[in-house]
Amino acid sequence: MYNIPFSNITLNHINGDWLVESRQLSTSDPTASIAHAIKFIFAADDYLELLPEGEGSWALKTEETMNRPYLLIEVFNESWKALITRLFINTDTRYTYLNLYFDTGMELTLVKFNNKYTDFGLN
Amino acid sequence: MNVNTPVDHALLSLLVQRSNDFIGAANTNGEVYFLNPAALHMVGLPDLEKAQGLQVKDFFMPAYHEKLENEVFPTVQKQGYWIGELAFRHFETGQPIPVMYQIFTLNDPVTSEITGYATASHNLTAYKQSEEKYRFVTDAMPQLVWTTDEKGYHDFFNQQWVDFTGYTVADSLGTEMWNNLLHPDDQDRAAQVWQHSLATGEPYEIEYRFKRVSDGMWRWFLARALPMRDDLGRIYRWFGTCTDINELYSMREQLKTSYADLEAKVQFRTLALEKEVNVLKEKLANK
Repeated sequence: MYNIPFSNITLNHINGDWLVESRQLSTSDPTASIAHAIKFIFAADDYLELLPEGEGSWALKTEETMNRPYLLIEVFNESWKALITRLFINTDTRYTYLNLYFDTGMELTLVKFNNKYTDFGLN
Repeated sequence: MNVNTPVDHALLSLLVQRSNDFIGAANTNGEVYFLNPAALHMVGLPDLEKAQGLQVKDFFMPAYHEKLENEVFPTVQKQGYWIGELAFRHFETGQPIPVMYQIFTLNDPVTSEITGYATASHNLTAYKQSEEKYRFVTDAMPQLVWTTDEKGYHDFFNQQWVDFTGYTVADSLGTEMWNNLLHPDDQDRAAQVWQHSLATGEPYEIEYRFKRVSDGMWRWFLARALPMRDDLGRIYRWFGTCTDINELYSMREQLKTSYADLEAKVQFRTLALEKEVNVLKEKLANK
């Protein structure tokens, strides 16, 4: 497992199709579309598509107080802040995992198949 | 007693007769003509008569005959003596008897001409059994076991070491080899801690990684070593073990990570709540 340091996380790391591998819902927004998404597509032009339904925008920001990256997600005029608690590549480098902790208390683990190793400077 | 005082022959004879070591003599043809009682007992001969006429070589296990012909006898002819580990053969059972064999020439006091050969050899059976027991115990242990001399020269590794690292004991001997096998990030730290223990005699304890030869994976070990001291307190050996703590290490790291994550989550959530509170305050103030 290779952890990508928070200071090195760029848009390229987040771009792409992510499947929801696991979720821990919060009591504060259990019915939100984002809570039931099975796939997140973070497109390069800040466009965000959720499956089975939902679209909006996303941005990679830095929480200044903590000096940690987070994602600002807006879907259906609702916005969420999701702290990146971990971004790592598994040992055989085939998959990247993204752990997100939302300000509502929800937690998601997203997984992306790596077809471009160059994204991570691995070759 | 003055060391130059002549010792009477009766005393010398008594010492030879009572000695527990194998003491014998042979003529220049290598035919044995004298053995003390301990020698007869050691190799299972009933009396001296049965030994007389036997060749020196006959007292050894066949596996050593070539070494005797090519190394031991030529050396004793050349330099007057030879010392080393060999194995006698028990004449009744055929069993090997490990000995520290010491052979030297008997010389004419006037001409210095070689008149025969003599041996005073020590039975190593008890030592070998003890060594075998030690090896059995260390090989039965799950840890990698090693010893060094007082200066840190590695002179022993158990079978687990060989199996884990893929290096033979012979390949691993010395002062540097073990360090070269460590993860590159751990080598300097390990060398410093080890040198500190060697210099101060303080127990050695460190965590570092060795590569497992079977799958090429680095695994974390807890290495510990204690000095063995003689009656005067001087260190003459270090006895060390390396215990595989990889699972424990991973769990500890996961716990650290989880704790750090939890801390970050709490802070993140707190910041979000603070902002909400501020927004509410502003709304209330504007009403």
